[in-house]
Amino acid sequence: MDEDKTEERILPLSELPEGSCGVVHATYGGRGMLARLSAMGLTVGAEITVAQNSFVGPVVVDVRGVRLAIGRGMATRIMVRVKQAE
Amino acid sequence: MKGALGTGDMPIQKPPVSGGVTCGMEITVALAGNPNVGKSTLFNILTGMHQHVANWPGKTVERREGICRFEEHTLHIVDLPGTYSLTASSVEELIAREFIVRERPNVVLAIVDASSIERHLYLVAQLLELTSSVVIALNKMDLAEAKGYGIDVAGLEASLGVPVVPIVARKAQGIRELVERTVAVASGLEKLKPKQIRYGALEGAIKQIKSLLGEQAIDGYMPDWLALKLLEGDSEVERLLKEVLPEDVWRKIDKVRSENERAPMLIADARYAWIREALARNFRKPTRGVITVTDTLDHILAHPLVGLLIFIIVFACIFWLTFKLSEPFVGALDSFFNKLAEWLKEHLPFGSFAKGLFIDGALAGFSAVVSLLPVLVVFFMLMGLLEDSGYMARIAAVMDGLMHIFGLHGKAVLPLVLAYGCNVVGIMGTRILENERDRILTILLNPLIPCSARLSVMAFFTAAFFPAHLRTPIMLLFLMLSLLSVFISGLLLSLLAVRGERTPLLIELPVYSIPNMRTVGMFVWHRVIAFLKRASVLIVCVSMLVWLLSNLPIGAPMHKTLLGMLGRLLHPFGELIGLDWRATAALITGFLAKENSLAMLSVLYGSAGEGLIESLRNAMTPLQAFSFTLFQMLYIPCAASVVAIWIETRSVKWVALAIAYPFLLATILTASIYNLATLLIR
Repeated sequence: MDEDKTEERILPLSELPEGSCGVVHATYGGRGMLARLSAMGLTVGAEITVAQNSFVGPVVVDVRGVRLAIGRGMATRIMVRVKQAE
Repeated sequence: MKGALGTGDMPIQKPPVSGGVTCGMEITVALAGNPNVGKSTLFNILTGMHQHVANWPGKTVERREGICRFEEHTLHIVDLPGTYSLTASSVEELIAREFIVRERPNVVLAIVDASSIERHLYLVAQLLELTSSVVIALNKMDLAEAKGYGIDVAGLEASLGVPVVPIVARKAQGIRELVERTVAVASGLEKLKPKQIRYGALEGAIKQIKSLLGEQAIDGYMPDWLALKLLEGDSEVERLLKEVLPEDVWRKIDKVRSENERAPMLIADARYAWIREALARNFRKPTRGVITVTDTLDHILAHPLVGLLIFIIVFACIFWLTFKLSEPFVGALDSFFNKLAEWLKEHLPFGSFAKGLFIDGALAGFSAVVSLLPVLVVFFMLMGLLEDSGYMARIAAVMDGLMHIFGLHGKAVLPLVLAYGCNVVGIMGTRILENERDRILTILLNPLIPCSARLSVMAFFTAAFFPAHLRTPIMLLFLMLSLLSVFISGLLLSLLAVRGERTPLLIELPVYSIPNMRTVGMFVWHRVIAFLKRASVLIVCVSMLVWLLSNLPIGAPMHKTLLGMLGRLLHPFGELIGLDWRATAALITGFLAKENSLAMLSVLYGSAGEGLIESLRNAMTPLQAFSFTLFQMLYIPCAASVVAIWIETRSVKWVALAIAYPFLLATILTASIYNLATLLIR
């Protein structure tokens, strides 16, 4: 994939609209939480696509070929470098 | 991509080769994999009916073991709990890694989902850190193809250095080759050279800690692995090493750790880098993803609002089906046992005492257990279908916000609401929760929810003592008090008794699929058999005991029997909540089954139906009736529930708490309401 020409933005996962995709930029949390995120494939650099985000309830994402539901609170602590959706 | 044989190729039992050149081996195989990877399906195919379900010692986690005979070999298959990693953060993960280290299985069979291979290899990486004897079963090859993935299995095998066997567990494809390769690895015919994980910048720190630990394995764990886990911040390894290491060594280790604070992330990155390398030339993804059925369904079923509405409908159906579908069978069983009891009463050549003990004691207890079976069968069938179709995970996601209030996991809504039908069903239903803490908390809250038997006693008393226009508000008041109890107890128990934090929601939503009947069938079979086996003996004993209490000494009038005396002995306690000795005695028999307390009141007052209402009205004030009803709604789980709690927790501590806690709560709540109301009325 070529370098994106468009401006890159870093947003918490909880604020990404449905259908947008990006790369995990940073994750914040305690040791246990980070280990859980890693085991589920959510590490820095992982590509992520938002399958559902209704601004209430969990955020549903696709990452490393797996669909995950992430609690809204946790989703605010996952920063994503957004690729501009066309 | 298919395995050596077509569909249904169970490893066939063959007679030993005559001449006896080769002799059969005993091989222990541990099945490891993520939840939802198809582990149970594979386990069922491998072991057929030769399986045994128990709990891991001291845990509420299920341990399934089975035997698979292949050629002249016997494979002992142990199904490890489904986990995403091998950290110390959950009981399941600890069980899995301790089994691999302590019991040293000949082969760890890692099941990997081909349709999300990248993430699933993360567990394989961790397994390889622990043992080199790994065989990979690459499951769901059909799904991977449907997603447009191209996987070069031979290339992947060469790159990983361990056998990779493509299978489709649902269609029983590739099983024979999988077993062949497993046996080849166990017998040493096939030598493995697993691809090493390179920890890059951390290699130095690992070496430093290793040299501090020495060459010896500690408690079965290799120094390499211990060093890695120390850097990862593994609490269990810390605890283990603090016990055996001198303090100065520990301080040096701690220093290395504090210099490498980012180690946990670097280790995870190293594992994913290892995966990327292994997949580099052997895995192709289509550039554009296809829109799958799962995408379409999730827009409805996993939607926070629409999904919630659909869940409520689905749930109402589950509740209705569980108790309606089983009703004719329960009725048939009841009338069968009634007829049997009558027939036995006429034809048994015993005296009336022995007859009573056998028929009204033992047989009545046994029939109570048996008549629960249809309910359990239907319920577990529905649960199995929900779980295997992938919908259950959506329930957890959709309900998470609401259940959070109770300090519980989203899925806990199912066992808790089903408890209104029957607590036993609710308690056994906690099996759907993956986390031990959630399971225990849900089990402890279960008895606080009035089951249909208690609801019927409540309805009877409300109807008997209160005018028509007050009945509904009073029933609602009872239900509100029960909900309030659940709410407060949820907070209280999670703070005081059930350790561990409620972890925020992070779950996998598996791809929807048509449930596998074999998997569902085995699920139902094991649950029901386990209940029947363990519950029947215990409940028969309790039933006989209660019969003896109410019939000894022989021929005594009710108030002179042991039960009557017990009722009067406990009278001071009963008075605390406004009950006479008869009501107290009725509550004692209610332990066997809650509806028994009504039957016992009829015996004690020598009248039934309208007559009983009349006698009760003469004996109790409405306040006392309210008090009795409230107390019986909460006081203790029935005998069958206690047995179910024992089956699920295998812990005297939790059983004791599950009895003592509601009793205490009921006493405090009822006594305060009764005494306060008495004061006010005066």
